[in-house]
Amino acid sequence: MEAILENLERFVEVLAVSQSKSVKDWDNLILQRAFQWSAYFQHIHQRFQTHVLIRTALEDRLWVINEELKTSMENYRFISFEDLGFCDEILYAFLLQNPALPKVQYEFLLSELKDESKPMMSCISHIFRQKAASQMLLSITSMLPNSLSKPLVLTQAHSLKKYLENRTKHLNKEEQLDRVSEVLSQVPKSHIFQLVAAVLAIDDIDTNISKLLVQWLVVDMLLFENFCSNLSCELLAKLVARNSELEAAYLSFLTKWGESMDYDIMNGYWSSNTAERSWEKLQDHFSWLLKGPQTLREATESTLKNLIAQDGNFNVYGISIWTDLLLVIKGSLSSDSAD
Amino acid sequence: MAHDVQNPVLSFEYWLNKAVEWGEATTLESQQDVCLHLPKLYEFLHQIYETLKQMNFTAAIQRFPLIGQLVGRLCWNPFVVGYDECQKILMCCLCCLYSKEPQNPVELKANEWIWNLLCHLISPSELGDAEACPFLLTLGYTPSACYSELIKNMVLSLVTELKGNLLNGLNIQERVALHYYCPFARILLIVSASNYTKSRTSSNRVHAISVLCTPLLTLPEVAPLLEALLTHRDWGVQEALNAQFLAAVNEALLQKKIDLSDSAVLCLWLHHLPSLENTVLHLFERLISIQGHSLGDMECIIKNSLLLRVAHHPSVFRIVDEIFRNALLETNGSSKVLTIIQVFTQCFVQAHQEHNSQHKLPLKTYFLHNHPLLVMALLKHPLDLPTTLWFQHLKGITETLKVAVQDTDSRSHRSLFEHWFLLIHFGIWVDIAAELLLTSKTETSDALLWLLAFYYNPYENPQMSQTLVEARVASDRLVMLSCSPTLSVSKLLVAVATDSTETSTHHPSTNRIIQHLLVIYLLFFSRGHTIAKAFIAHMTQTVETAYEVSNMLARTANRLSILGLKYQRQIKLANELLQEIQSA
Repeated sequence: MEAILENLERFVEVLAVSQSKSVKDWDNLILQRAFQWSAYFQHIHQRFQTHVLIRTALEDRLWVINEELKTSMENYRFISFEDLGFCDEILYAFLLQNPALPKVQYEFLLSELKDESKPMMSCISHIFRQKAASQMLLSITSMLPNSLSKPLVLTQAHSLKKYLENRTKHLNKEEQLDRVSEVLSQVPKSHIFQLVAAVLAIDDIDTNISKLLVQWLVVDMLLFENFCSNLSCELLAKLVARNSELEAAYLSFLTKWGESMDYDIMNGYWSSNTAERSWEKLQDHFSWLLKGPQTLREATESTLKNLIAQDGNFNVYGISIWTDLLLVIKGSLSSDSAD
Repeated sequence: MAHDVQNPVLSFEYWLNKAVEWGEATTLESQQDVCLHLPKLYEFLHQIYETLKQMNFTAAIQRFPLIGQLVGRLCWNPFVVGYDECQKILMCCLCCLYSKEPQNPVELKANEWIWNLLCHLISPSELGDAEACPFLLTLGYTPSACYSELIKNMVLSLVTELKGNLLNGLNIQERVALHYYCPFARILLIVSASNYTKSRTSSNRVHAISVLCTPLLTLPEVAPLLEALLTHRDWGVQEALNAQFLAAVNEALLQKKIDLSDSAVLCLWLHHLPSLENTVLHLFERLISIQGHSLGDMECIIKNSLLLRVAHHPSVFRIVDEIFRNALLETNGSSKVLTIIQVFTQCFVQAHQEHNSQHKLPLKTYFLHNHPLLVMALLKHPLDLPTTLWFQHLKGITETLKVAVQDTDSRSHRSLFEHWFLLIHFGIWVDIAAELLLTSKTETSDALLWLLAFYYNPYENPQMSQTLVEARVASDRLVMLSCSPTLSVSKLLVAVATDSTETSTHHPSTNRIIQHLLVIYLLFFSRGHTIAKAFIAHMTQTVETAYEVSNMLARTANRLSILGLKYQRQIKLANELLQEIQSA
């Protein structure tokens, strides 16, 4: 077993080199050995994918190798156990995209494309076809009027979850949270909140990753406010309905928002100093919460009633924002159901 | 060839124009157009490749000055690259254009262009608006992992969407039902009309999806989508799925490139008759081309065929049977076709008995248009009766059959054919009749003889009586010969020869009966064993008779192995004789 693990280490290093400038020193022998290694590890993957003990040993070793190479190489790409299943494709793609590859070796890659009977042809053809298939399916899904789930976001969410699981392995709680922050800081700002929300939506509530993501969200108030402003009220209500920690944070965010608003006596409405934090938007947030499942509805109502009580339990417009909010939303909800 | 003006499908100009028109296939119309043209495009590219591979870059450019433009455009079109065949042939063309030792700047530039094109084909950039893949790559995902995850999720969401449509479909019906009772009928009429348009557009959409899936259907990850499309209930008034898609799915099934659930296959065949017909023909071709007449091989092919998996559906069974009927008519009752129908029916009945489902139909319902008593008698498996009752059973079958075909009302050609066709399905009873005719000691074997004569000659009545007389003489002589102390090839030949002075040959159907009886004689009488090989050599002097005798030997060997171990000797001899004929 130890021999396999050591070979695995060498092979992952070979894959790393195949993406780097050092590939310029490769000769035909090295290139062919690299493909022989990939055939060997494909065989290992095939053989042990259902063998828990050996698979875990291989995954643990991969984790160590990946962490090491990550620190020593820029833009290092992780190799997972699943990747071993098609490592010939990966090696081929790395090499083909590497401008440092010597001309002779490049021609070897090309010659493999010429002959349909060669085994490598089918793997290369598979990756070309998969890319084309992704593009085709993307345009087919975009044809649907209201695609229920957005496959792109979903795919990214699955991948992010898997990646986080991998990167937080073997770390203590505190290190895990740091690692999550570190990884998420690399995600483009335009995507981050959609993506985190998607992970929370697909994942079970009590997995480690979900807990870490919630912690990451609630620990920084400003970040959490951004999260709430970037997502639709409907999605937020769905997420907080599944997670009590998120629910508490969300309600306290909305409470602060309400408390920051003033009643404009002249014009007779609640106003705030920023356009984003409008009275209508606040109503929207609360009405989605009140349309949610029973426990969420009850928690929201009791929060609102407590706030009304704190403001003195007045039952007229213009004194407590919470009284007004509840009256308006209840009115609109009952008129909705009457329709 | 590549400049063929008469045949646009082979003209370079035609395809370059197409490639320009398609662009990167961004509109639904162009995408569908690409998908529908791919098989033809492949043919064309294949011809180009055959020319290219014999030339260097410069010669290629002289021959096809715009080859770079064509290949480049096609490589940028995902709907072309997604089709396995086209993509592979494009790669081959690209490799032909690569110069190992570039002699001039153009060749150098072409090499660079090829490298860029290949990188483009792998690289996950330009995927979707959200730049999904590059972002995943920064997380350390390999391109393959990224694509396969993306495909999986998109297939899943399309499947969900298709199932959602199913619910919409139900909704429409509910609304129609409501409409009936509702006083505000006019309002609801508008609602259901708008739903109708909605369902029209949704069925158009399903049709478009089926077109766009055609190039991808052999990709394993796409299988759930194929299932969902095929089992999609909204097969409306107009064809919901594209015919080319259905034909391509069937072709991939036949070539075992994909596998689908029985219910999906059933939907495919019930909605697309040409696919079912092709499948039956494909099976027929395979059965006919079996070397060495082995019924075991036939059974194996039939049992592994998709057809047997869904033949329990009455409509499928009926269509298969209809094709058998045509084959029988067109080959004028060739012995191979008779055997195929018999073996298929055996496999079907066996599968039916092994199939444990509450909803399964009784076997007789598959032969609804035949005489019920006859069907029941023929459906009886010989092993379910003691051998001592076989004769009685056969007598019963013959009598029912005789009455049925002689019935003045049903004497039409058609009804006669139907009875004959039914008997062919259960040819095993005819084989048993031939054996009993020679081996049993019953005084009256007229019934058995009549059954044999009917099997080989159902039509011409005056000739049937001649056949009966001739076959009677031959069978009596064979029985007598089994008592004589010596036996030789020549004695056996004399026994079955015609003794009429007017005609020197038997009626053809008599010949087939005699052939059948001779095979039984050689296998079942120990005296026959001694001269079997020499006699078979006599019997199989023409290709035609060799074929007939081999078929009969194989049929008998198969029947005996079904009926039990006690026939080991006969089976062994039959197989030896078969080999003898083949090696001759």
